[in-house]
Amino acid sequence: MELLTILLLVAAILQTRVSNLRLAINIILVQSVFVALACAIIGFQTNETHIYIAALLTAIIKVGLIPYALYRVLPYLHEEREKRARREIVSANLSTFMALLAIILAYGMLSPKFPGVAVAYALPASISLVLIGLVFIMTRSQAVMQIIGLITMENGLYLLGLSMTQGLPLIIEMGIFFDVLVAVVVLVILTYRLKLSFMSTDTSLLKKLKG
Amino acid sequence: MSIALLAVQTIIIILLAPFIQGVIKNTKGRLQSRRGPRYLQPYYDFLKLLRKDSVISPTVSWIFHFAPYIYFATAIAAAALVPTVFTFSGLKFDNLFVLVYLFALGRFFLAAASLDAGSSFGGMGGSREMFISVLVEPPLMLALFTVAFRANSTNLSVMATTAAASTVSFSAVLAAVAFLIITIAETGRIPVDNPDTHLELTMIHEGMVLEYSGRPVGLIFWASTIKQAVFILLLVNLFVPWNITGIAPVLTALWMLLKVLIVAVLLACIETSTNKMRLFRVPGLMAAAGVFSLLALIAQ
Amino acid sequence: MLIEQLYLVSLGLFILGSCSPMFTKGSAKATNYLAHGLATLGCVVTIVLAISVLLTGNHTVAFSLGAPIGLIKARIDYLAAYFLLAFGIVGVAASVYAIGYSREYYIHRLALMAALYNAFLLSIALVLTISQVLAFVIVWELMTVVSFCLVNHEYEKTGNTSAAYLYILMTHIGTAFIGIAFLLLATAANTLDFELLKTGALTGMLRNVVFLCALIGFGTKAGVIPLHIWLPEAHPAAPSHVSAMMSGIMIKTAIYGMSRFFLEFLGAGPEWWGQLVLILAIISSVFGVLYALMEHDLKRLLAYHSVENIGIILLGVGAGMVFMSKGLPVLAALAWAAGLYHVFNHAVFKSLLFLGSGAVLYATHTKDIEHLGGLIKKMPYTALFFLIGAAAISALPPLNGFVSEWLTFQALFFLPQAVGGLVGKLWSVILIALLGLTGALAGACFVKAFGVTFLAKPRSKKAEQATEVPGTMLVAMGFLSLVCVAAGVWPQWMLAILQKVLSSYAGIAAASLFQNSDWYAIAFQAQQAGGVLAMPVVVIMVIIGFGVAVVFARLAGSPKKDAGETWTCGIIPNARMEYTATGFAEPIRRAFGRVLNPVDVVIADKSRNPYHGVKITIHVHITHYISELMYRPVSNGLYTFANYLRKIQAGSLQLYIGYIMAVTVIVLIIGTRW
Repeated sequence: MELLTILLLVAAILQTRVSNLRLAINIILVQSVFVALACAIIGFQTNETHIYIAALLTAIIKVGLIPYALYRVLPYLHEEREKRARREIVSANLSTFMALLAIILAYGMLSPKFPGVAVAYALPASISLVLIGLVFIMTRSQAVMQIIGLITMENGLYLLGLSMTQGLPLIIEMGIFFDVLVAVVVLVILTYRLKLSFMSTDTSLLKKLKG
Repeated sequence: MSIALLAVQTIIIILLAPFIQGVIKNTKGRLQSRRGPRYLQPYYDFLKLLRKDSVISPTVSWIFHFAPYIYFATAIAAAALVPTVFTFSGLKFDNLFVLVYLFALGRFFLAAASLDAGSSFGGMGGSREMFISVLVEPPLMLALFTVAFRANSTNLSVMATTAAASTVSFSAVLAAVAFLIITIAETGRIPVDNPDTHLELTMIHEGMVLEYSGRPVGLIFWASTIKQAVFILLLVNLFVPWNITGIAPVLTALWMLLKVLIVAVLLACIETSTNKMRLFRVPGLMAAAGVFSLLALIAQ
Repeated sequence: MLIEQLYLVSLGLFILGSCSPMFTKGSAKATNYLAHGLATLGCVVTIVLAISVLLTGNHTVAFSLGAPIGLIKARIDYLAAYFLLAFGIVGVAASVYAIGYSREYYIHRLALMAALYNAFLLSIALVLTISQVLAFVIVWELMTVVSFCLVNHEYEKTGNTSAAYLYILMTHIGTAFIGIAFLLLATAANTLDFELLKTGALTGMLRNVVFLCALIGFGTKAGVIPLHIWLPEAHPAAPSHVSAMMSGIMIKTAIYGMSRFFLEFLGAGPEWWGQLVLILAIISSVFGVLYALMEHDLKRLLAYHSVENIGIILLGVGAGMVFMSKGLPVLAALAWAAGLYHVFNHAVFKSLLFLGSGAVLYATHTKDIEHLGGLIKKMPYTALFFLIGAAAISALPPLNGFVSEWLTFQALFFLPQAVGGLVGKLWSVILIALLGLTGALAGACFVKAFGVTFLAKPRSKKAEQATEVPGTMLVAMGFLSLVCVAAGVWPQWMLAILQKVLSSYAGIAAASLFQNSDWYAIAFQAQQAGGVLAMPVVVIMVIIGFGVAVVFARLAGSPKKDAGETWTCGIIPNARMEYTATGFAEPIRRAFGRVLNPVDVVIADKSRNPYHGVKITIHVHITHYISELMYRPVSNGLYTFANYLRKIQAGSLQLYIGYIMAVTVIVLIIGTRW
């Protein structure tokens, strides 16, 4: 479990360095696999069925459906990459540095010693995942990259729920899943429409809408 | 019985009103080194007018025909209200507001009729007449209320009775001066309005009735004299009321008549001694009357 | 039981009336007749209901609607019945009028307007009867929203939408204050029922706050200066029968609310309450009528006159409050009776005038009196009814305006008995003088309005082509004129009703107020003195005088009348020689120039011939100080503030996410450190 946490953080940091869209989607897929595994382990530890179901759902939605949707939209976005020269707000090094800052902040603020909770070490990790997701959205201007940032944040929150409460009630899990699914699907559709309308999915173009 | 007495008193006031007008005109003439018209000239004028025909513009409507009658009617009703020798509180309608607003009723219709013929003279006269009425109303209320507060009632007969029992005082003099100014404004005398000419620059009341001819003119002219008489009677009975008590009503009536004639002569003197004010200086004059009334109230 | 049934029947008729356009959508005529017919029936039932309550006694109808509102009670006591009577009379007239007037709206979404009109009547009936705090606020809001939709009904015309927005903005500010007042009362009394609200024990400071909130809240709806800015915009924008209902009844619901607060919930308060109301009232009166004189749009003129008359009503109310605070119950009853009677009278003659102006609008399609004229020959009945309304509002005897102003004058006359000494006398006499001033100004304004609109020659093509309006409109106006005359010549029955209305409140002793009345006079007995007024006698005197005049005129035989054109120095007179409305009001505008600050804009068009035939256009604007000094700085300040805030909105998505991140980090730090 500790290993998985560290692997998650590594994946997040890795993500801040890529600018190729396909590679970014692959990394987020790997991250979701790790989260599903973590959920399964927790289920193994507490031996409750609903957590197994939650893990299965995570696997289906976050490993299967969401990357599938993202892959579907990719062909329309050929030639899109997070181009460094023109549109990138921060370079890869700077975003990695900001991710590291987020991790330090999270670990510094939050004490990993919560009495009575088994996987308390996952708390700072999940907070840092959320912050890294936010940084990602903030520093990228390409639409698919921002969806990926959103999914990272979602992973972080899910991990938090997992670790602190040893599994949220199933209803809440289902709600969260559907929420994320719908959000991502909508965003994917919007990305497609953005591409059609503006010939590019650079969200900094949205600045022109300001009245 | 009291109704008959009321009718007699009203008829006497109505019949004497042109005489008062004649006195004013004669005095003015004499002061201007002329012989002046006869005292009874207004009666002859009125009888002459009653025989004349009218020329009526086709632009007018029924308001034009109706207005002189309603003006005359309100003047007669006001003459019945005004407290003179006898006061009639039994009929319960002589409230000072009724008096003021009866005149307002007559004026409303006459001003509306002045717009009816569609001439600029009429419009100007009507506009200025309403303007003067707006300015006169607050000082009129103020002056009448100095007496009303003393009598603790707004009933004219009660006010007259209380005033008759009062003595000469500084506040009474101030109130009398204020009401004199208001009388000049309401009856359209110099310095507010010139009742003798018929030019648009100097006329207000005359301009309003410029389009009338024949019998309506006679009615309006007589109603104006009745209105003048009513205001002089109000001045005499409410503000300078010092009667001699304990004598027969006939002598009281004669004393009152004497006072009225003195006021008429006074009006004529004021008219001769000053010139007509610019229209937009009249607010100042009315404000002065209002201030006098307020001072009279304070000094009570 | 009968009363409960009548109440439900009237509400049901209104509801039916607002739903009926759904079924008659095909035929505009059927919609018109059915919806407005149902409205008329509903108003008739309301009149019957009011009269039966006045004859039998208070009545409460209870509905239960479950949580969270709980039990809703509708209480029809004497006060509500009095206002319902006024509502019914004006409503009948307006609904009958609407049958004829709506012919202009056959292509203009008539179904929607008829439905909204019925909903409007329903909401007013509910406002006047509901006696539970939450339900009251809900129906108050309903009334506001429905009237907003009605004001905005002709949104194609420029200015209507902004007028409607201004109206709803000001009304909501008022509703906020009303809500505060009600909530304070309700928490103190621990109940939501009107009947029990007065049992709450409020401390002095809180009572003052409740008073001020109620005054501001209801004052916004009533149109008291300085909260009146929506009135001259909203009333002209609405269709005429709706304007009549709004100006006649809707602003009176605010007076109804004030009466509930000051008579029932709060009771007698310190003297400065009444004095404050008096000050606001006299300012509203004088300025309302001054601004009215400067208008030459017929409906705006009437709207400003509503402001003036609300001022006169509040003079009576304020004097009543002063008397109540000083423990002079009989005089308080006199003053409140004066104020409430003017409520009824104003409702009747103001709606008559609005209906008349609607008839003028129907016939000529313009409201600008500078383009009218000579209508008395084309629309004789409309002119007659408008004349009666104009005479009533100028307080000319023997109409109803005179009686209520007379009562107000008397109430003010006795003010020195409450406010002692020289100050009391001066204050009273100043109020009386200013009230006389407003009466005279109102007379001048209506000579102008009536004269320029109806008399002399038509000033434009539109006025030349006017014809008399449909019969239903005339019937409605005639009915209201009859009520005006009746309430003026025989006010005894209304005053007896008012005696009943006022007798159930603490601090007022109305039971013996008007007991000395004979059949032909009203008389009241106050502390030391009384007052007497016999209107029929006045009428008789005037008629006698009239007869005498006619006799004199016929003394020398019947007069021969020649026709001769008006003398205009030899030129054939045309409409351009007539006096204009702006010119008629010009001396007053100049005399009050310090207050009004008129600005003349003269545009001389010399394009054709610079020496002869110059076309001059003159626009005269007056400065509305209250808008300039109070509202404009506030709105400018809001704009500036909003412009500053705009800089945060950079348009960049990343920046917004950055805001979120910053807040998250801050929350994180704060959450863990504390």
